[in-house]
Amino acid sequence: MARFFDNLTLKGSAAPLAASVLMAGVAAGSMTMTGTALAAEPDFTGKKITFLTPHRGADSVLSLKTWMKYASKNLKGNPEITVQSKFGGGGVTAANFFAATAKPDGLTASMLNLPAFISYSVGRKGVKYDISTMKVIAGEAAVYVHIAGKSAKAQDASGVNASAGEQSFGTRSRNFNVMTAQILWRAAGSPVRVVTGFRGNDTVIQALASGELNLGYIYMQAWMRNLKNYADLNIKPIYQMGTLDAAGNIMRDPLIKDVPTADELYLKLKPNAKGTQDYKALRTAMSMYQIAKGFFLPAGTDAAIVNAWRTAVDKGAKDPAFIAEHTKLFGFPLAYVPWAQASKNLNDGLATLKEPYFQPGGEGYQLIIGTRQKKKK
Amino acid sequence: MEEALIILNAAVSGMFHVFSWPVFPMMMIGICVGMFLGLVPGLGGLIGFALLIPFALAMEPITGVAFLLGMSAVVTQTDTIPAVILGVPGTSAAMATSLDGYPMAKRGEAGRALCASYYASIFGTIVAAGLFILLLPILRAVIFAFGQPEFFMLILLGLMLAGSLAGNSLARGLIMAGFGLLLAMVTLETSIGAPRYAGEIIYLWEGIPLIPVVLGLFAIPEVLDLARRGTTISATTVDTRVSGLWAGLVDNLKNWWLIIRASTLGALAGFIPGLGGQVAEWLAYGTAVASDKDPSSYGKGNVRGVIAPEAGTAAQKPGALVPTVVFGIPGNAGMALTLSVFLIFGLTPGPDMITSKLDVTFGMIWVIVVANIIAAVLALVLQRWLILICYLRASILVPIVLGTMLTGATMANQSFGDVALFLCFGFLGYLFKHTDWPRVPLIMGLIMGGLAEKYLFLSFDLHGATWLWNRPLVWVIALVIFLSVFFPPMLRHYRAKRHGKAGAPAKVSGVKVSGYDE
Repeated sequence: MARFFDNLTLKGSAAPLAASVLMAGVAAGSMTMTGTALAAEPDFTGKKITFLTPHRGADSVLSLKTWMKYASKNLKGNPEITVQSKFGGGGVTAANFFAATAKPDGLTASMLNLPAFISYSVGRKGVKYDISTMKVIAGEAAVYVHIAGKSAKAQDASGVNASAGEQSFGTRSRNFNVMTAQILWRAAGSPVRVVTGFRGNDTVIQALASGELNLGYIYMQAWMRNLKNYADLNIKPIYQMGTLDAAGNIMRDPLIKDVPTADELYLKLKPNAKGTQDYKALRTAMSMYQIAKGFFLPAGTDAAIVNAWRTAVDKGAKDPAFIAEHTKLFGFPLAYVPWAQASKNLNDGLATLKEPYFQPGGEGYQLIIGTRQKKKK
Repeated sequence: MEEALIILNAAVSGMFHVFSWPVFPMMMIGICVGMFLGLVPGLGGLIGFALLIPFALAMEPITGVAFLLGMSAVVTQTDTIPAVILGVPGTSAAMATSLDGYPMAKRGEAGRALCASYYASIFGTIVAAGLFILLLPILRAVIFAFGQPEFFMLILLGLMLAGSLAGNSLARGLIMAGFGLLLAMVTLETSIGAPRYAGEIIYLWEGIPLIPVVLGLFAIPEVLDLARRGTTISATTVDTRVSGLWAGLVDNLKNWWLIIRASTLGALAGFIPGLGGQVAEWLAYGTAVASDKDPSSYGKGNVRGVIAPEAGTAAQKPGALVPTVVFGIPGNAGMALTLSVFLIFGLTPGPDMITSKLDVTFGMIWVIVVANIIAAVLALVLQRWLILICYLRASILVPIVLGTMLTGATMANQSFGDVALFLCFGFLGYLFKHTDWPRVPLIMGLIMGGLAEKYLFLSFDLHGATWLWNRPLVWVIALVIFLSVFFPPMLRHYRAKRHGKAGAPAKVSGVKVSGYDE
């Protein structure tokens, strides 16, 4: 039953409506399964659990450690959960390691990130894991803000028009943020020039502040924590990627309500574009960030163990003490996505990425991954 | 005048923070951990952050920050110990130090070399703190005057200095730097993230890991030679370990102008995000060699070759703190982690940190200065026993050192790939050492290759080819490269010719630094 939901895929324009119906069913099913699972709740007494993460940054690892501290309280036997970093290969190292070594006994779980999902979907070299068989236990969303430096002609959302001219857009490597910027600015009549190779947010900010670079993007929470600082450096927000509500609508994140979404700006520029491939790609980008991080158990894990984990992480994430601690540590609560929603977002996203548009040779592939420049003959 | 009083007041308040309870004892614990991490090759500050951050977060913000900064400030001080005693740089930032420190240890002057390095670290941080005060009004202009082209040129300068200064021959040095650059190409390609020369070996996708390479290249050859000789490291039986204390201080005082120049370069390299300790170290070493009447003495145990890089690297620490706390732009990987912790503690970087919260910023800088002083005192106390390593029999020392190095090499990734790289580069290191091919430029190429590539591509992507002629700072740095790398051998060649030695084979070389690569 759980596997069925894990692997279920929605396609086409009826997806939002179907998603709502499905969510209701999933919720009911989940409650039933939880009830069933309680009868045979796995006991983790005296067990040690390893939770892998592809990240090594202090924020990400600490956030997961804090969450798992509360999740452990809701697993029978209160096992010790150790967070272990398996950094490298844009998330592929952790995913491969997890697929190769984790036994389906509930003692090894892993966070996998969006680059690992993309690598899987487009069949990149070195991928030795199959996400479709893994068990989703939760998800975490990410919201990004696209920003302008002092040398950009567009200093706010009203500047997204043809008069902006060609502007440089800085990033570490191509991804859905880059794709969104390219589609939106192209629609505005001012295509951006993507500049890859920045080491990270810090170097993008430095280049924006020095005036070398026009546009970039930043994780919304990092933006919020540095608002005053960035204002002093003349760095301004233009639009945000937004969040999805339960019905699949793109909403402004409540923390930056005054910043419009890319979706809003796009439809303002092209009111009749909803059926186009560009608009679909834009929505895919936004929905993929709703599962920027997925939390998994290995393929073949018993349903009772999977349910125990789903319940534990859910209760942990909703624990007022955890919310308070996370907010105290980072200044905002965890962008938690329950497993059913996460599973649906993931499956939708993976299915979309399997479409020819995102596969090698397609325009979407070019936008999110890029291709080697061929030498002119 | 009023502004000067405000700055002075903030500086004094900052000092009070450092010595308050429980900030000082927690800083002391951080210092002890940092000293240990620097002492064991392969560990270092990043591992320290990973270990200590969970503890720091349980503390009050200023205590936690002092705890972490205390740790990170002293890693580069104790990493000198294995660099001098064993010829194995504890971290990649101690490579230039080992060029002259190890030959000094071999001739029984380990105590003097170590003491000189401790004092240089202390003076380096003090000079950096002074520079911070002086440059406060124009800090923003200094930091944002540099763009991607200037970063690239500075990286190039560091690389060229390493290539020309470490070894007998300029050509060999540059070839080895080129080899290092080639090794740096093994990673995910910058623009599309596709594996480049790494195939499906995911271990290599983040690039060839530095620590097993450094330890293999430097530790294995030294250990093998030691085992072959069966003697002690120190060639002399005269134990001079007690005499270093005074001699090291005198060396520093005699070279006060060198310290100021090296520290200024180090602090400036710290101010600029993304450069890091290695560039600071080589800029400082380069200035020592270039300003010496006898450049050929470098690499053979010239104490100035220890003082300059140590002062430069130490000054880089408070320097890197400035863009981190003032603009939220971390100066290096360690500072990126520190920034995360600052934010978690609610210490938001911004202009406030040099206005209303200037005392907090000063508190952080004083932590680095005071930590270096305390670490120097502790190291001096421990030195008596540490230098005994130089007098240990090879049969005792070799297995201990090999075991420690192997553990250090595999600590970060815990992968069999680390063991393979350690052994492979150990073999290469042995060959290079005994065929007079300098190893330091290879490491510098590996470290800076990725950075150089990114900054080069970013320069062209952002500015086209125009950066080559319309950015004055690029020209200034290019001139420095010419004057420090190519001009000295040209001048020597010209002088030799003028003095009628043209008949002799004109060997175009760097400054003829022999180093322990001989």
